[in-house]
Amino acid sequence: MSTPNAQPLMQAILQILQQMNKPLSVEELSFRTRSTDSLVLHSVNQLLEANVVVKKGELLSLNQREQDYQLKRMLY
Amino acid sequence: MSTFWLCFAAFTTAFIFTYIGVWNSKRFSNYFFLVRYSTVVLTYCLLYGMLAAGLYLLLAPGKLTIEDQLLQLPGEWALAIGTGIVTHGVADLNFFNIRHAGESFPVGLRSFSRYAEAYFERQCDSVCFERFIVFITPYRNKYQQAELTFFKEQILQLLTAHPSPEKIAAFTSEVIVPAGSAKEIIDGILREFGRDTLQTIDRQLSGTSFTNHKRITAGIFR
Repeated sequence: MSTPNAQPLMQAILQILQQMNKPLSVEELSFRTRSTDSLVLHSVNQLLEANVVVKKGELLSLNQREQDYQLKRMLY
Repeated sequence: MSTFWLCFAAFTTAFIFTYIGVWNSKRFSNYFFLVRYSTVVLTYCLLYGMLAAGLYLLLAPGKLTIEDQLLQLPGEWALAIGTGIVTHGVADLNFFNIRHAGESFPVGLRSFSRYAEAYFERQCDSVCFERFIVFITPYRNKYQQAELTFFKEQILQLLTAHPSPEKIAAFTSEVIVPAGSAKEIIDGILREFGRDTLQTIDRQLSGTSFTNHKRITAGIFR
């Protein structure tokens, strides 16, 4: 399933994770992107599949090993 | 008139205008009530207030003159208040942008102020999120057991009285229909319509058949 807002939302999620430089929950990402949990979960799942973010329990953070390459590719 | 009071006028004006700017900002919008007295917002306003006082001291020796008739105030007061009003705009001055590796970098006073702005937004969001959770949790707990389809119908029914049908249509398609839980709808009401609407809906739901339906549903599954 693909939503029209997925790409900008994904970029927003990545930018927030990069700026905050700490793991965040889906709930906090929904709040910071001013989006719904469902939309954020959809984008986060795509980012997890692309190995750009990693999941530690309830928290998500950037995959440090992949981020240099993947992050630029996703953002620009 | 002593320079101190003129600087104070510039400071106060910039402080008030910056506060109004945050209040009206699209970013905080319906969440503003959560951060209105927070240290982060007050520090942000204080920063621009001090910048305005400094800017006034730079302009005061006569490098810039303002018509004495402006606002019917003596020139020095008009300059102090005018400085306070434009300080935020001056800090946002951007002469041109340099693009490198797909990233745009502003050249001007914006080169410095954007870091302060980004830092403020992050800090403010952190405070705002913490207070958001405290505020919204009782509402989430109250409706977490609600039967979702019935809850959606009740919300839609209540929102038909809202004066903006376009907003309701957008809210229905973007939040209510895809929502997988009552929590998402409650969060969405606060985000899109604000605290007063959320509290009105809560009062209405508490006084209607929703509570009866909840009791009946609970009774069936007991």
